[in-house]
Amino acid sequence: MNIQELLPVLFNITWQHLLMICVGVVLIYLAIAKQYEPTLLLPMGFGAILVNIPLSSAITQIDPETGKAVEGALSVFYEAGIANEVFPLLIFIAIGAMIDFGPLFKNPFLLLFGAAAQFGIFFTIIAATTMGFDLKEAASIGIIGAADGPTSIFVSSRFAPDLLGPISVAAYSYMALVPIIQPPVIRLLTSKKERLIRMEGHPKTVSRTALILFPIIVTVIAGIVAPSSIALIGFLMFGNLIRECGVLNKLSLSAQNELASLVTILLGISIASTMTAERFVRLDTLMIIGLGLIAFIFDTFGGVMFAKLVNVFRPEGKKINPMIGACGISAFPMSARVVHNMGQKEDQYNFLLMHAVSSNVGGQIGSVVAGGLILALVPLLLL
Amino acid sequence: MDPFNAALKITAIGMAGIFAFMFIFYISIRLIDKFFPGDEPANKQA
Repeated sequence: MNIQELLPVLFNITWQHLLMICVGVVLIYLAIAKQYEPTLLLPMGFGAILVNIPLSSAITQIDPETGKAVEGALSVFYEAGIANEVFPLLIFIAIGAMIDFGPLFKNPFLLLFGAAAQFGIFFTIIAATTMGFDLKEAASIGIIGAADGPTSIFVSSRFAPDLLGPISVAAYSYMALVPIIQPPVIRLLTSKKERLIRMEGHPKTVSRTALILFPIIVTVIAGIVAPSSIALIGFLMFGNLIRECGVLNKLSLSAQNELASLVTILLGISIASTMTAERFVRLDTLMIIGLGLIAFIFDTFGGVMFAKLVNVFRPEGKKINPMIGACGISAFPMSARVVHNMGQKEDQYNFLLMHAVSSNVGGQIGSVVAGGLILALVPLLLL
Repeated sequence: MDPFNAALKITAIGMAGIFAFMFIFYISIRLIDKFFPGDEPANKQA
């Protein structure tokens, strides 16, 4: 027996494997030291190490002696939970149970910013096609702009499973970087006078019946208009109905805590099964990371510019602070906090938080609707 | 259809679609809020 038979890994490891192990370590560092989306980036980082050690038993390998596939646990998790979209949908139940749609009832007009701030998705789809990606890949890359990890995973696992790793890393990294990405874009697009605009509050209570009816009505409308979006929107609204019905508090808490935690662990480490050196160390990955940043920048652009457009038609005293438009993304509540803090930096007596939260909740709905529409539109245009 | 033209179409239809969805949800919220305002008896359970 020679050393090559004793330590085959040492003779099979390549610089690409070593690079991916470094990527894994960096993701773990970002998760722990910087607290960038640690619930996802840490499992993904550790998973990246697991799958990039040559001959890893964590992923399915072909036995050189028999030629048969020897199943690895992470590959099994991937097939069981991501390839068939079960894990992202379970996460949607958990997210739905965490969302309070109450702020939207206080100023429902801000729901429209949840549409405008999805512009980055579509701008990025166009940009990706000019860079040589096909339509399905471009749509999967564009959905990074939803600023919504599960939606990105859901769409890319259906349209471009080979790109799932880099898309997930980009989506979760940029979500964590919202406080760094959004402020300079907002400052670039708005004047100081606009950032000083104060908005009046809407102190009102929301009835429980209203909060119960909302998820049911949204599901029915979405189902009628775009049936292919029903799984995405329906699971989110199901989670929200559990929260709002008032008789399933135990289930609501379980969805928000145990279900979210368990599925997040499985989701993160299963995605890592796609982060093998062969799939990840490619020029495409760098392009996807760059396009993801463009998606977030143009989301902010879309939201802010829509607010400025709306202000053209609004009388003095009823104008919207354009920074609120930037909150129409799904990164909740981070984006709302960022805008509130920016407002307070300009004027410490300007309290934008309530409006920012309403817009941000609109973004949570908007991102899921965008995902559903893309799932419906892409196959139609490929016919 | 080439991917670029398809992407332009998706952008036009997608953005219009999202605004249409959100507008319908906006109307729904206004209607729900009109028929079930915040001070209704349903809150007594809480």
